[in-house]
Amino acid sequence: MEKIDKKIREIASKLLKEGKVKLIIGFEKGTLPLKARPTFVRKPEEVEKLIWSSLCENNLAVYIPFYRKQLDNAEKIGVIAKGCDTRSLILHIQENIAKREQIVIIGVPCEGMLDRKKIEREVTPGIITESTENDDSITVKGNGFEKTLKKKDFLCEDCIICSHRKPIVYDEIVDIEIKEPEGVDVLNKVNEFESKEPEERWKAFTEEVSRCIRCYACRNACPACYCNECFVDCSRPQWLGTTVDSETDLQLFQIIRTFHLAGRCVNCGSCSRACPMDIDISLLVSKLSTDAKQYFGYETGVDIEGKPVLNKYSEDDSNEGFFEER
Amino acid sequence: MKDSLKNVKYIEKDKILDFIKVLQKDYTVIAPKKVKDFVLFGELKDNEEPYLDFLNSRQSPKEFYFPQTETIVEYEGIIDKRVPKFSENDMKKRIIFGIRPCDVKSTLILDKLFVNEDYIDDYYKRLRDNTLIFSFGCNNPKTTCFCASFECGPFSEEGSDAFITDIGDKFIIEGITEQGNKIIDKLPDGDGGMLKKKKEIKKNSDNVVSCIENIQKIPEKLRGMFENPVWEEISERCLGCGVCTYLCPTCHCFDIQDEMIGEDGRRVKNWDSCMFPIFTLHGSGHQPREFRFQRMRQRIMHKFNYYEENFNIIACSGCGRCVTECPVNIDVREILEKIKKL
Amino acid sequence: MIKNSYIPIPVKVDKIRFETEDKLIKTFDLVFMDKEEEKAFRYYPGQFAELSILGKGESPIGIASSPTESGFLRFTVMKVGVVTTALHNFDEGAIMGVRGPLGNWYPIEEMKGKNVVIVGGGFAFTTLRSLLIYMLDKKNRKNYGEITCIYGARTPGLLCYRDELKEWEKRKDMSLYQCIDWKFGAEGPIEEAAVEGWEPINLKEPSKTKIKKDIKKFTAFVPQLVSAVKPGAKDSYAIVCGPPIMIKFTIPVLTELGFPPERIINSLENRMKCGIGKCGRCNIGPKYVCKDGPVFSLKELEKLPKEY
Ligand SMILES: Cc1cc2nc3c(=O)[nH]c(=O)nc-3n(C[C@H](O)[C@H](O)[C@H](O)COP(=O)(O)OP(=O)(O)OC[C@H]3O[C@@H](n4cnc5c(N)ncnc54)[C@H](O)[C@@H]3O)c2cc1C
Ligand code: SF4
Ligand code: SF4
Ligand code: SF4
Ligand code: FES
Repeated sequence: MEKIDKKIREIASKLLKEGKVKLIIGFEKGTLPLKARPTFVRKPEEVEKLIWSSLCENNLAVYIPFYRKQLDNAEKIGVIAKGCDTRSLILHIQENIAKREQIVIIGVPCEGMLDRKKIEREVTPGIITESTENDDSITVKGNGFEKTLKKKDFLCEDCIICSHRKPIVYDEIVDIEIKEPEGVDVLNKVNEFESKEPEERWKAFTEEVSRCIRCYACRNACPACYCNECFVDCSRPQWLGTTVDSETDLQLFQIIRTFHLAGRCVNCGSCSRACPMDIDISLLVSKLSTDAKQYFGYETGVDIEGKPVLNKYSEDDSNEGFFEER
Repeated sequence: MKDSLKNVKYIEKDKILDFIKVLQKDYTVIAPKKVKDFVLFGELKDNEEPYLDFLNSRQSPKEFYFPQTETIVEYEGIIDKRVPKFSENDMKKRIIFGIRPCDVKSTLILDKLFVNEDYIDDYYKRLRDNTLIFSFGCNNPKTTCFCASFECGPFSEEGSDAFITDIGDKFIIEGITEQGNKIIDKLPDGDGGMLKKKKEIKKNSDNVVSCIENIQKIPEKLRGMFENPVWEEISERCLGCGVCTYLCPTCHCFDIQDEMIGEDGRRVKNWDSCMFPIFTLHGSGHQPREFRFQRMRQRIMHKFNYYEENFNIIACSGCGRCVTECPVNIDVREILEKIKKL
Repeated sequence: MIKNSYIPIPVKVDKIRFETEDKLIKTFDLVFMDKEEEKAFRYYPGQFAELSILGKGESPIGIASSPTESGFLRFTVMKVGVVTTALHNFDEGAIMGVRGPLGNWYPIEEMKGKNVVIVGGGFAFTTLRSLLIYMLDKKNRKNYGEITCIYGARTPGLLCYRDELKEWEKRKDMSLYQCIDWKFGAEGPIEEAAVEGWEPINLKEPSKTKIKKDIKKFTAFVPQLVSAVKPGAKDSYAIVCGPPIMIKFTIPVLTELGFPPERIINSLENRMKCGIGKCGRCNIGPKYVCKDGPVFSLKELEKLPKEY
């Protein structure tokens, strides 16, 4: 990890010194054990706070739309990006949030991020106060215990099924060797759920979303959710009720959001991780990703030349998704 | 709070359900329950045991005084002929069982806003008046607990009717108010040994729990800091979601909305958050808090300066929920330390 | 029983009329369904109420009637969003709700024995009308010194309460100055009357304008007209209501005329919901506009953060 930190800092410092970018978005150590967090670097002397670890779970592309004004002024922004971050950045570029040359992508191949909550569960009732990371394990310490855990057993759900861990595009790269895992596919997750009976699926879905408190962390953590006015906030017309005691509105919120992400979600899992009520939202969105792949052979953000699936029409397009009787 | 009223009782751990059942004769019992891998407060059903092996609940129990969605009035008929219908049924008294001291403190903080000489929120008051508090000492404060900063602490009894301590094989329950004492009266008497055990546990917790020193100086410090560039610095990573405010036991902002289903309608209070841009957006399009840093400033200023100025108390109890659940690890403790140093 | 502060009082829409030529602003006279409620609704000029349309929502609107006019509550409302549009769609006879009176009011006690200068712009004249009617009331007039009113809008047809303006023009116990905006050319305002009968003022140096005795209608922006009229600051209060830009430019003029900040009074507008200091929406620093305002003196505002 230290090697990667060093390399990231080198690149960042160079880009800032050479005036290639004004801002670099990366990760720094968080205030909690098992937490790294987004950070913003503007001066070469600040690059020392940049780090890399298996805790860099946030998809940093989420910040790009916040800088629209700067982007309109032709400023350039550097982003430290794993596979999924680069896919979201490509989406932003395709959707004209930024021009390709305005985003200086510092790619870091990723071996999957750790799920903090899984690790905490593993050591309950222990309270973790410290953690150290090695190549393929992580050691957590706390009030009277110390445990070393294999990283691969504690990956985020969406990282387990990620098949694009290497940055898709980049301007600078931290050149470490990683293997794209084989035989994994978003479909795995979706298939398992889809193999259930419809009633069972509906029950599982409604039970999950009934816990929703409408904090919209899922939306705000999502790099593809950047509408100026989100449909949940519209008052004229009002698409959706505003309460939490109407189950229908909670369900509708997730269903509509899911549809808005069709062919735009990169399965980074940010929504699920952000959710304070542990609702597995990404499962729902993943279904639309798999449909895009299955019916249109499209994967979001893997081809910078490509057009988003819903932005193009071809006579050979599959009609199945629309007409299939269920 | 008279000392002579002080009553120490105990229950064996495996008898807790029996006690709950006794309580349920006269009260609705709200207690911690396990949901997936975390804990939320909820009404106990028949034969349902509280889940007392927890650090704190993911969401604060504020929803039991200040529900996330609460009907104010109902109405029906065509739009220009509607009159408000409002009925106040008798409500069964409730006990919140197992609530942590920081969340009790938060309730006391909210009382000052919702029930004061200017205006009374009748909905809050009714729920509050009909609720007894059986609070629960914290044997294992989390690393993110900093209640000790706010005249509170893992064993603070302020605001409780009765106070529960886990002493290993049993719970001791101490009556604090007359009502609390009356309710626990039938339980077997505890003894000095039990109290001694409690004292040791308390001492340990008091040692473990963190404390932001000199927090009382923060409100004054913030007074001149509205224009400080620090707000931009600490808010840059903020996503502007509602997690910190919705999980916070002292955040009280709400929206009022009307909702129609066919010809039947209701007006509700819904939680709202100062972290959402539309919170302050005028009908004209004017937006007094356009940027994230302005909204972050509002959240911190409101809790640690404005609230203190209005009600003489800081609107935070150190529960740490905003710290642990923020998706990007914005840490209010860190912000406060930073402000202190400026 | 103490009244539940969230429940609207039923009222009937008695009269509706268009207030301005663009038809975006209407005035509504509301009457209480219950005489007891009417008696209990005691208000002062400057206060507001939540107009409540069940099924749509509520809007805070300044009370345009004066407590000296009994039998109705008057509101002048611009159509902007959900509630105000629903209100504009109402016919006379509709039943709706009112919640209030809310907020504080103009310093009618402190102003006793003092001169009062009212400065208004556009349709924000509502609570100023209330104040004016209140002070002009037979019982109250003697309590106040000179009353000067300076009121402007973009065009003559956008001035509110035009029938009343005509009456006030004739009154001897007050002076009313009205203005409408300049015509604009490529270079900005043009120095000629925009509309006949409206005298131009000295565009470059408004304070040098010679105001003739019988001319009370001008082509000018409100701050310029204030500068030209030069109301005396001695023993005077200035009450200013209007769009933010007007307020911004009027305040320095008043200050230059010698009005101290504690005698320049504003009424603020913030997005509101509860109106009673609970929902946390309308604060400026520690003050809630709904409960501690909407009326603030410049002196009070200077102590608050600039976040409105
Ligand atoms: C003290 C005070 C006095 C006012 N007096 C008048 C008046 O005399 N005449 C008039 O036409 N307007 C007045 N306004 C502005 C008026 O309240 C808003 O234009 C109106 O609330 C918009 O409501 P809406 O539902 O049509 O708009 P929407 O955009 O649909 O707004 C939804 C809700 O947001 C809130 N809201 C939105 N904009 C504002 C705003 N500018 N101020 C307060 N709340 C807002 C309201 O609760 C409103 O119902 C006043 C505002 C305040 C605070
Ligand atoms: S993050 Fe979770 S609780 Fe919040 S709105 Fe999304 S689904 Fe609901
Ligand atoms: S929870 Fe974190 S990201 Fe969300 S609004 Fe609060 S501080 Fe910002
Ligand atoms: S501000 Fe954070 S720590 Fe303080 S009471 Fe609210 S959620 Fe708890
Ligand atoms: S409108 Fe709710 S606090 Fe002012």
